[in-house]
Amino acid sequence: MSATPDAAADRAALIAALRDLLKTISDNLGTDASGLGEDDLIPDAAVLDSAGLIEFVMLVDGQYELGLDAEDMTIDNLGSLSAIAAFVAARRGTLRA
Amino acid sequence: MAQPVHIPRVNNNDDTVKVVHLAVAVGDAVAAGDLLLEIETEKATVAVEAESDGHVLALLHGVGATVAVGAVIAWLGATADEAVPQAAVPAAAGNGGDGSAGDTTAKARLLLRRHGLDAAAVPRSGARLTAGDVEAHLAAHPGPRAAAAAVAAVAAAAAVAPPPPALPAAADLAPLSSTERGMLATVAWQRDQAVATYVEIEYDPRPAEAAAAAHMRAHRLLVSPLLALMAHRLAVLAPGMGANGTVVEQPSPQKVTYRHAHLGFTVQAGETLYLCVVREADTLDAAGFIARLTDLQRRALAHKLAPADMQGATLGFTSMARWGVRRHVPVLAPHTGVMVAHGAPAADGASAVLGMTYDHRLLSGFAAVRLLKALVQPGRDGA
Repeated sequence: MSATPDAAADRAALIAALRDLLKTISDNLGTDASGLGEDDLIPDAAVLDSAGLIEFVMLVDGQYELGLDAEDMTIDNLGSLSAIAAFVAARRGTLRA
Repeated sequence: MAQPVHIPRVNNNDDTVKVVHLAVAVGDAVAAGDLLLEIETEKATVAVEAESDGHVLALLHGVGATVAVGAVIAWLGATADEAVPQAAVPAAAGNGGDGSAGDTTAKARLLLRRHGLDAAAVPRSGARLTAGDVEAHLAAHPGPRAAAAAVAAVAAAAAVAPPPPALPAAADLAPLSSTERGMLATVAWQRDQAVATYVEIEYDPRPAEAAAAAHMRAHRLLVSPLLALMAHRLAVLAPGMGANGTVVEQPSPQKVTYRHAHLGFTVQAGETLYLCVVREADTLDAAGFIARLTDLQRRALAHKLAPADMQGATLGFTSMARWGVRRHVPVLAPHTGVMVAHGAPAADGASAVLGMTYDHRLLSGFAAVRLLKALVQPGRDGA
């Protein structure tokens, strides 16, 4: 099943918003996150260190009110921009794909 | 009832005036606003007028007399035959009172003695010299006696608090924030209570990185456990290597060995540096330690740590690798014997520095290096 045009637009907007959040941290660390692909694993991308990655996830948690628990902090849930977008959409109950 | 007429204060600098003209005589009828007399200071001549209708019952000073401000100069009555209150009449003209106990209140006498003043020199606002009169006089004349009292007060304060250091240039002073006070307490403890020494080793970080990556994959972790695994090794190995303790010197020198390793791990959250404490870290396996530390890091970054989360460290671990710092000399946390400092690897990734500030009363240099070498060997803690 393919995503509807609205769902695709929502996802693209969400990815863009996630990139903005990530950039706030990478800028602080002096790294460049512009080349990060949607499916690239963020921990492997040398963009954020471990503390920076936790900081990023907390920003996402606060922005989208995810209520993350310790068990949510896995690479499957939050390891890439696309994974985070899917997780956020699922938590918000708006997944329409 | 007879009403006194007081010498008014003309200015703050003159406590006495000179009577230069009497416009009335005893027995005269006066109306409110009528001129009674004129007084003179060094700068002005001022009219003293009747405040109400009545008769002049008494004039206490003649032309040419020098009279204290506040002293009674005349009495007015509703009728010409009213009696003048005798207790209020000065025994000696010229200063509005002789300073005897009879015309000076007890509090005023106390103040006079305390400041070494003569009652005759203090202007009075009424028939009796009051404490308020003395205080007004002191306020208007911060002279040598007051200055001496101020100097004495400063000297007394200096006896309990040392004077501020002489600063080399003009500066503004401000109290420390709570965070700054915490850091002050930490560095002051190292300065005053420890024999802090630093040692470092250079090592190949790649085996530890590979082990961390393997652990990450195996546990589907989001965050690299590289630092957490090294900190966990510290918690597990330090007790057996004599590094989980400190030394106290009072009342007698004694070696302190903590029963568990409570590992303090620094987290920079904005401008605030936290030391998150994983309690009884020596009893946790690597996965359990990582979970606890990650939870503390999240709450530190949200500034939601409880006080207990930051207390009781017996060991310390810190890293400035995220800012590219290769080596730094950390400060011991209070009542700890070691603070390990992790640094960023060299550009080629093949070497890195692991340093440690340690209390030389607790560890020898050899023991410190042995501990550092163990920390960079993955698997030494069973992870």
